[in-house]
This record gives sequence, C-alpha cells and structure tokens, in this order.
Amino acid sequence: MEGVSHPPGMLADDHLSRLFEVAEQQDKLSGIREILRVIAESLDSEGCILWEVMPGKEPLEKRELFVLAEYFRGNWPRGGQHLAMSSRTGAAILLGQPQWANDIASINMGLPEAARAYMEARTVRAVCSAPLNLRGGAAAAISLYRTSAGPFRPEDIERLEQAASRIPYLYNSLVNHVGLDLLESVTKLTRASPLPEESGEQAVRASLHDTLSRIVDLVAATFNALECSIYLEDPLAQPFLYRLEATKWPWVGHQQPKSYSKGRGLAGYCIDCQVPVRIFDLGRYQEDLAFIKSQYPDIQWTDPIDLKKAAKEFLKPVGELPPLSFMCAPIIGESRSLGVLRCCVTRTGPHYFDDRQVRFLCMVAERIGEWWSNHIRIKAAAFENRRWRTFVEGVSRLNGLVHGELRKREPSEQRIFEHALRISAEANPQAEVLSVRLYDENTKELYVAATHGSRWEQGGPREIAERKGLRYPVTGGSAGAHVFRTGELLIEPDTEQSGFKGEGFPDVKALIVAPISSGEKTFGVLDVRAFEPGGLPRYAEIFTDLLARQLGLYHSLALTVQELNRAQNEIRSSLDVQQRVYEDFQHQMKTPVVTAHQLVQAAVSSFNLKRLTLGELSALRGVCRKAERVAANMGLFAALAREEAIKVNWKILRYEQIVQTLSDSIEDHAEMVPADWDLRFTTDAESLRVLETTPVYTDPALMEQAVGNLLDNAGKYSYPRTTVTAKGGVTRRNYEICFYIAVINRGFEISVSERNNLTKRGYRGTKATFSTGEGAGIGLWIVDRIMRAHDGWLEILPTNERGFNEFRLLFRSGIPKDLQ
Amino acid sequence: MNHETRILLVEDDHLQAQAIQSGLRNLLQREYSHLVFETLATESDFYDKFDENAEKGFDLVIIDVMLRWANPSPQMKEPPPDVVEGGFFRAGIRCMHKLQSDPRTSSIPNIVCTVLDDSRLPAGIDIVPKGGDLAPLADRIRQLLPTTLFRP
Repeated sequence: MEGVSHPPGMLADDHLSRLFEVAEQQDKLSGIREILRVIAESLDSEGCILWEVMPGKEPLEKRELFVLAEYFRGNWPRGGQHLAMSSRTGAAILLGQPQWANDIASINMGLPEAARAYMEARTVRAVCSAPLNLRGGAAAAISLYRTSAGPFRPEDIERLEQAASRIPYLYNSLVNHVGLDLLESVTKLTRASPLPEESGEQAVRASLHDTLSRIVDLVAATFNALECSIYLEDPLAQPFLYRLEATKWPWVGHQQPKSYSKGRGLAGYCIDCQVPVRIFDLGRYQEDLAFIKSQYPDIQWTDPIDLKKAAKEFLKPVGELPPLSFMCAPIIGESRSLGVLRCCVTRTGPHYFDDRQVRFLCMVAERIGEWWSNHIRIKAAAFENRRWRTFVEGVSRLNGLVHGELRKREPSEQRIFEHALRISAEANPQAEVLSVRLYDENTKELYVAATHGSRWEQGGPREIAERKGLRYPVTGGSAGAHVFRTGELLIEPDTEQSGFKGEGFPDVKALIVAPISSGEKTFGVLDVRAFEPGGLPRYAEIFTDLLARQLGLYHSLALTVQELNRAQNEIRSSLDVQQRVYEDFQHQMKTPVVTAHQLVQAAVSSFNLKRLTLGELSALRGVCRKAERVAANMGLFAALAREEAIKVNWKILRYEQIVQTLSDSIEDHAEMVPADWDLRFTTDAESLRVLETTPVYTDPALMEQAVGNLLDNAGKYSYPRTTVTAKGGVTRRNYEICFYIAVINRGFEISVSERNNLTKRGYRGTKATFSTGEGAGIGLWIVDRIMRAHDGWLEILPTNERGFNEFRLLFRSGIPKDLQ
Repeated sequence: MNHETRILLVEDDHLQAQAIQSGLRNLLQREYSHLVFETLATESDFYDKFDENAEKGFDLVIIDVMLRWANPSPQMKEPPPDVVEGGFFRAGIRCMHKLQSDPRTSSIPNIVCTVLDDSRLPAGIDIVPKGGDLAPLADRIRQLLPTTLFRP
C-alpha cells in the first residue's frame, strides 16, 4: 500500500482543538516542537519532523531537505539533519501527495546509511510524509515516525494531511505572536531606559548596558538563537566604529569581535549597505557562496572562529549539525547606520531564520535605532551645549586677554592667536592641528603665525622648524590661499575627495579654514584640521568661523591701537622735544646773560675794582652774541612751529662782509670753549674771494645765524686739540653754480646713513647727546630751514677718510627769483 | 691760622665756573678765611672722582643741573643706562642723589644752582637760582656753613 494516498477524511475534533490550544500557548518559536508533539501523539507516532527544502538556485529535485523542527518522544539523541529529495519525504514534496512506508526495513527509503542505522536503532518501522507549503510557498513536508503502533492506515494519512494543511497557519501565527511580543517588550524596555539628560553619565551607561543586554536576551530567547549581539556606533566618541555593546556569546574559548567597521564581514556588509543579511547555513557558506552572492553582491566573510567546530563543541550532536543559520539587521537612525543586531545558530528547531523572523529582527533593530538615535541626539545636544559653553567661556577669557594686551604699549598678537587656538581646540576635541596663518604683504604669502596641537611638535627640531616655516603663496593651491582669495569659509569633510592636501600633515582627513578679516580686508586664515574620518562637527564650523571673525576684529583693533600708539608716541615725542627745546632755550638764553652779569659783577665787586681785561671783554661779547643767537633761534623755532615761512631780506653778499662776519663768529666761539681743550678756530679768507667774481644774495642776519649754529656745533662736538675752519668756495649742485660757506671740523663721525637724520627736528646723534650740556637737536634743523628759505641747501658731507666733517651752506649764484 | 673751606663746584660752563668762583670769593672772604674751589665739568668726571673726593672731603657741593656726560673725544666713555635714559637734562640731580645716597658724602650740604625754573625740578631739593647776582648763593652758603673767621 506504500505510496498511495487515500481520500481525505476529517481530523478528529478533539485532536484539532488540542492542536490549536497547544499552539496558542506557545510564546517562543521553539514551541513548534510542541505542535509537532501534538500531531505525533494524535497519530500514535513516536517522532515527527518538519522538513524543508534548502534554499538555493537549483531545481527542487536537486536540492536537499533539512530539519526545520522535530519532536521525538523520550528525547531521542539528535540524528541526521539532511535528507535527499529521493527520499519518501522528498517524493511527497515533489509529487505533492502524501507518501508512506509501513515496513521501512524491507524497502529502500533513499536514506543515507547513517540515517538508516539511526532509524533501526530506534526501531522505527513506519514513516508517513505529507507535503505542505510553508511561508508562502516554501517547499516542506511533515513526517511521522512509528515504532510500535503498526502501519499507517488511510485514515492516519488523511489526518496527517489535515494536520499538514494547518501547520503553515499555526507556524505563521506562532512567529507573529512571538514577534509581536518581542517588539512590545523591546519598546517597553527602550521607553523605560533613562535619557542622558535625566541622570549622570555613569548611571546612563549602566542603564544602557542593562537595556541592551535585556534586548539581546529577549531576541535570543524569541528566535531560539544561541548567539545574539548588538554592535553600536557612538559618533560622538568614535565615528564609524561599531562597538560590541551587548551579547549572548555561547562559544567559550572563542574570541568575539569587539567591534566592526563599515564593510567588514556579514555585519559590516549589513552596516554598509543598510540591508538585512540572512545566511541559511554558515557551515555551508563556501558551498552556497554563489547563491549567497546572488542575494548579497560583494559580500565577504571569513569564518573568524571556525563556527562549525564551536557549534559541535557546544551542541554535541550525535550526527550532523543543524543549519548554522544567521541573520542580522541594520540599526539605522536618521539615515545613518548606527549599528547592527545579529543572531546566529538556533538551539532547537526551527533551525532556520525565515523571512518573517528577519522582518521582526529588522523591526526590533528599528526600535533600537530610534532609541539609540534619540539617545545620541540628546547626548550630542548636551555635548554640543558643553562645547558651546566652553567656547563662549573661552572667547570671554580671550576678550579679557585682548583687552589686557591692547592696553599695553606693544600688544602681543602672538599671545592672542595662541590663546584663540587653545580655545578652538578645547571646544572642539577632534581638531588636532590648528594654526593661524597671516598674510605677508612683502612676499604675498601666508606664513604660520601661531600653532596649536601636539602634532606640530612631532619630530626633530629641524622637522618641526620646516613644518612651521612653510609658506603658502596666496596665488597657490593651498586651502589657506583659496580662503584668503575668496574670503569664504572652507569646509572639507573628506580631503581625499578634495583637491586640498594635508600641507605638512599627510594624514589629515578633514579641515575647516576660515578667513581672518575685518570689513573688506583679509589678514590671514584660521586653519583647523582633523585626522579622524567623518569630518569635523557642525559646531566646529561655526566655532572656527566665529573665532576667525573675532581674530579679524582683534587684528584690526590691534592695528588701530598700534597706529594710535604710534601717533601718541609721535605726539609725546614731539611734546618731549618741544619741552626739551624750551627748557634748553631757557638754559641757553639765561646762561650767557647770567655769565655776562656774573663777569661784570665779579669785576665791580672786587676790592680793587679792576678793569676788565681784553679776554674778559671778548668773553662778554661772546656770551652776548650767544644770547642773540639763541634768541634768534627761538624766534625762528616759534615761527617754523607755526608753519610760517622764514622771510628773507635779500642783500648781495660782499667779500669783506662775509670775511668780517666769519672772523667775528670765529672769535666769539673761540671764547666759549675752555682753554684747556686747545680747540682752534680759523677762517680761510682767501677761499672767500670767489665772491668778488660771483654775485651771491643772502639775508646777512639769517646767514650769520646759520654760520653761528654751525660753529656752535663745531665748538661743542670737536675733539680737543683740533681745528675748526670756516671757508668758502664755489661748487656745482644740480648743474648749477653755487657759492658755499663751509665749517669743517674733526669730531664725532657722521655716517652716510646718519647725515640725513641730522636735519630732522629733535634729532641728536648719540655721542653728541652725551658730550654737551645743552641743545635739543634744532640747530641744524633751523639751518636747514634757513637754507631752504634761501632756495639753497644745507649739505652735510659724511666724515672723510681723514676724519673731517664738513657742513656746507649752499647759496645759488645770481639774482634770487624773488628779486627778478 | 687759616682754615680751608672746601667747595666742590660741578659746572660745565667754564666761564660760569670762573665767574662763580671769583664772585663767591669776593662775597665770602670775610666769613671764610680760605675758600678752596675744586671744579668738575662733566658728569662722568663726577663719578670717576667720586671716591677720591669722598675721601678728600668737602664742606659744600654746588651743582649745576644740565651737565654734559663727557667732553668730546674719540675715546668717550660709554654712559650708563640711567644717563642714556635721562640725558644731560637732569645730570646734576643724578650727581646730587649719588652724594646723598653714599654714607661718606650724605652729610655734606649741597646746593643745586640753576637757571631753570624750579617748578620743573623734583621737590625737596635745595635750589638757589643761578643769576648774575651771586649774593643769594653766598647767603645760602653762609646758612649752611659755619664761619671759619674765629676758628683757632
């Protein structure tokens, strides 16, 4: 009677209700075993197996059957797990009809030898299989195994068919039931987990672990999985690193991966592609690779722990291992892969994670994603708030520093820049290389003005100096040059995708460069770089931009303060000069008068009322002339200070007159010098004879004043035992014939560079300052102005090789323009 | 027996130095039987000879305010920082402070004699205006120094 089906009958009502009653009681997938037990018992069978055809691309007849779930009275040890399609069970599926054998010892069941031996050992005498369609068409069959109840009768076969027709419904109901229970439990767990803002960080951390561990336990129990793990990314701590947060890991002695990165392994593929991954049997991964790759292109997996070995050690099967089924679902939050939830290997049937289980796993992952995303968002907000607080406090401190610096006469921008970079680094921990690069107007380059970050200091002194000494032409392709030219913030989250390179730091992954500017003027850039992939956070962009604007303001302010300080210094210096000049005038004016008075007083108050000697009279004349000269200088100084022009009273200069003027001046000055200096004054009268043939116009009083000032200087600054000579001559200046009066002496050296300073108001040569007790640096300035009023020049010849200094008053020959 | 009254005159104008010595001799000859003047013309001379003069001892020091540091010379001595900073304008005040701060000379009376307006000078200085009439200076010396007329 083998292989022949009977007309279907009715399953007894009590058996049917018992079946549904038991099915409803099940809250785990392993409850399928209880359903199979009810069927086996109702049909007087000791065993019942739910077989399913392995997934694959080949036609059904070329595939194999595997045990999806099983029941054996008295817990028979686990036997074979696979069956050929040529078996009675396979035939039932292929033919779509029940198949049975009531004396299996005498017929060929198509069983492998091990399976046959297994059946014989358990005295299985009769087998009956009925086909069914699991999960929307998956080819499957239910088989009953009898040892003592006798052969399967037609009514038994009919009842088995009826039971088989209900299994898909019962199994689906079971999956839905446990799946929904799981979802509800996970939802409750995640809702009960405190948010970061509600308690301290450690408490939150402990709670997170507790929640995740409980989810893992629930998922593992629901899907009957031996291993279940959750990997999550904390983008604030380490972006793109998915760390193991909770796990059930049964494989003692085998190390579980503590983290995943994108694209690595099955979970990595799931993270990378944001798709669930399901593998029927990891033990057959290589055999099924073509089929697997048809579902998951480019997937790559190398068994890191030898799962077959680990499963054998754990499950200790008598025969074959069941399918080492695997499924994982991406945990996604706001379109970002935040982690993965994975399950692997079932403890009892069902041994294969079907589509609906994967869907429920995905829904659980979705719940976790929402919860974790929320957690991260709140944590990120709190973190960002702290960053903002740090930043604002830093800027406040910086303002204090800037205020202090700007009050100094020489504000240090270096300190301001370094402080600003420190603030930026404190507020933005991912920024590892920071610098201020300023524009050098001379070279049209950006140079590194201030740095922050330990990477700047890596390497030997030379390497560091080279790194910091790099300069970037503003016309070039550096990030700084680009920003300097455009004046716009540059954000590069991935330097590998952009044209901007590390510029001294080849490993740079992301950068932000902001212009340091004020108004239309750009002074440089603020450069912030990170070495972790994923770029710098959004707030870092805002911080960098704000800080650069602050620096621009400070720089502009510093320039203004410098300018004000310079102006103030000039005014102060000018006031100083003025004060010195008036004090010196007071001294110079009073001294000759006092001296003259004292000389006369000394003479008249002596006992014998002596007559003044010729020398004393000369000295008297000298000091009186000095007083006149000082008075004239004061008048000129005051007029020039009011920016009034010096009025020239033109007279033709006669030889006799100039000789007399010079001789008198020489004589007067000789008296003013202590005799022990042995300083001689001479006039080279012959040299002045050129005047007899060259008409020269001057203002005699001004000319005398100019000569007097030159001789005053010569008297004060000549070395002892030297000669001061006054002479005249003709020379050319700008192709024009000029008459000159020169005072030549040997004194402090006048360099080429110094001579131009000598005619500046208030300028005094260093040595000259210390060799006299009077003077404010206006004598030569007045001479210069007198000569300009004459349309002539004061010409100062630098010290020649013989040590002579020469000061020339150059007058144009001929009639002055004023008189023409 | 004549007793010497020794006065150190720090004055860089040789004509004034002569006139002051001559004028004070005339005005003080009755009170001080034997006036001895020693003149220093520069600030550097004052410091160079300070130890020597401190040992030698003076009865009075008269100091001008504006003094040159040194006479012009190719080997002119480098001035110290305070001189570089202050210049010649207050050289006499520096010399006076040196006198007052050295225990050997702190008790020697000193007079600052200047043509400058005393409002521009530091307070607490014994200033006698420098004028053609040396009588005020002589009067101040009489106040500071006991006469030697009746000394044995």
